[in-house]
Amino acid sequence: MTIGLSLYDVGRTFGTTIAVQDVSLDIQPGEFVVLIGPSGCGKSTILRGLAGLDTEFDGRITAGGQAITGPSRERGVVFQEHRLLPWYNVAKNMMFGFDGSQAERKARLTEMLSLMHLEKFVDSYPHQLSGGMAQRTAIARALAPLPDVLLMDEPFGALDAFTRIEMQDALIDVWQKQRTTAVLVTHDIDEAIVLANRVVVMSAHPGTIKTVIDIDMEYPRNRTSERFSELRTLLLEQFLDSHHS
Amino acid sequence: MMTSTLTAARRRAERRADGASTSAPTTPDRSRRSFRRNAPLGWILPVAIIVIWYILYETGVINPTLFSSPVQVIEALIESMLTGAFWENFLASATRWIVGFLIGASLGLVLGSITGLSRLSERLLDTTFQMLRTVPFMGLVPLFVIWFGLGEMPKIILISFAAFFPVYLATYAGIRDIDRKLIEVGRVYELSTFRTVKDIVMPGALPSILQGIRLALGVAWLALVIAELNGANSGIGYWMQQGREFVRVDIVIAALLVFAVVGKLVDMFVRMLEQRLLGWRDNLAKEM
Repeated sequence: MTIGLSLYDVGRTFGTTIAVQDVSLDIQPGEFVVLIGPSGCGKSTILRGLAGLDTEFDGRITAGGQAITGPSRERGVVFQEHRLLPWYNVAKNMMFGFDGSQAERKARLTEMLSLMHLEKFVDSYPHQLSGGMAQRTAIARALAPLPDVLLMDEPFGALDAFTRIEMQDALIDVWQKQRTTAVLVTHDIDEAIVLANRVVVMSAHPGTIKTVIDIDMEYPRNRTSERFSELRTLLLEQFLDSHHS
Repeated sequence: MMTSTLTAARRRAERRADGASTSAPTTPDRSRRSFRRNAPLGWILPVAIIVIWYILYETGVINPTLFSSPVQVIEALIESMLTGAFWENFLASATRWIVGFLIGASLGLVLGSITGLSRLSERLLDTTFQMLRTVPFMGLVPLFVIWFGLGEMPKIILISFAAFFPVYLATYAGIRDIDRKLIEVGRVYELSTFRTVKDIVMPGALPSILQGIRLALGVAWLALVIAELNGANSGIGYWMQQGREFVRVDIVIAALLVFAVVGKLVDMFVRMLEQRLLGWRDNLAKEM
């Protein structure tokens, strides 16, 4: 089952700093939304709120109509660092959040390994993996328990440009197959256009939504197409604007 | 410099991961190779010392009443082994050491976990332990002798006391130093407290705990010698004491040799244990 997410007049202050102010957003079930903006715009703060890792918000944050009071297995989280447990191999890390019988576990593991093209590395330890492979394992870990929502905080930020493109394509593939609602935070404009149904552009100090842009392109998206360039320009204008205002 | 080392290591890791057939952990193989490569080097110095010692004795440079030859030491050792006296003493020492260590280390592990995991226990107990820690355990010998006499009890308590603190401190520090980000992963998957401790806290603290155990084994060994030199009627320390009374330098040196060899063997055992339990670590030292 896929569910939607909603934010109603959400605000968050840290001491005297207003990190997020008056943010309202409806994310449809199965939708891929990308939050983009300069550092300090509160995009990661919002993601932590959706994950339930931070509950000190004003306003209301709901998942499937229910207020979020804490983390849940129904909302998988991928962090910027892979955060794999170094003492477990790929198989154990991938199935870390999965509850089920031995047979179900095995079936799900096989499925995730082939989805992420990591069959050969099932017994490897995190330190033996490249950055891209480790992050693929982390995404598989988040997806293994069949969450309704996948939340990602700059998941490809630490990867090199080529690996990042590879990972974006892999993510779209996985998202289309798993049909989860996805929210991804990034500061990479191309990444936003490749992935999102809708791009939410945020501005900083205080963190607010500046504008929301629909990406009207078919998946998989051609990075060299004309429409892509137009959208890039459009977003860049918004981005620069939000940066200067 | 540091960065380039790390980059090289990462590249190596990637190359390892990219080659499908080598993706299986290669650690055991590599450690065996490094053992073969490194172990003999470490033994050069001890062997050289024994050879020089032998030469000095044979050429008459050292006074034979103050210092025996290595041959005499080995003879004394073999003789006592054949009469069984050595094994009796060795067994007595080993028993004290193991029992004392197990008591001290278990208490250290349990109390270190408690203070590491709970802020309240930390505030309640840590000050006491930090104060006790600074008490030199040798200073407790006279007190223990007054309290418990010359039996097994004071010796085992002394050894436990010595073994407790390295394990306590290492467990406490190991738990406190765990990456908060990994704890957060546990929260995301709604792990129970038990599973968080089992899957994240304990494996994360294990390197530190094992280091504490290694230290504790050494300190317990030291405490054993001290306990046995201060009124005992069995044990390697007692044997050494006898050697002193009868001015048998060969026996005193033989006893010291036993202490050194056993200490080294135990250290090797713990290192092996470390390699087995911590195989998941990206150990740069192992690769170089």
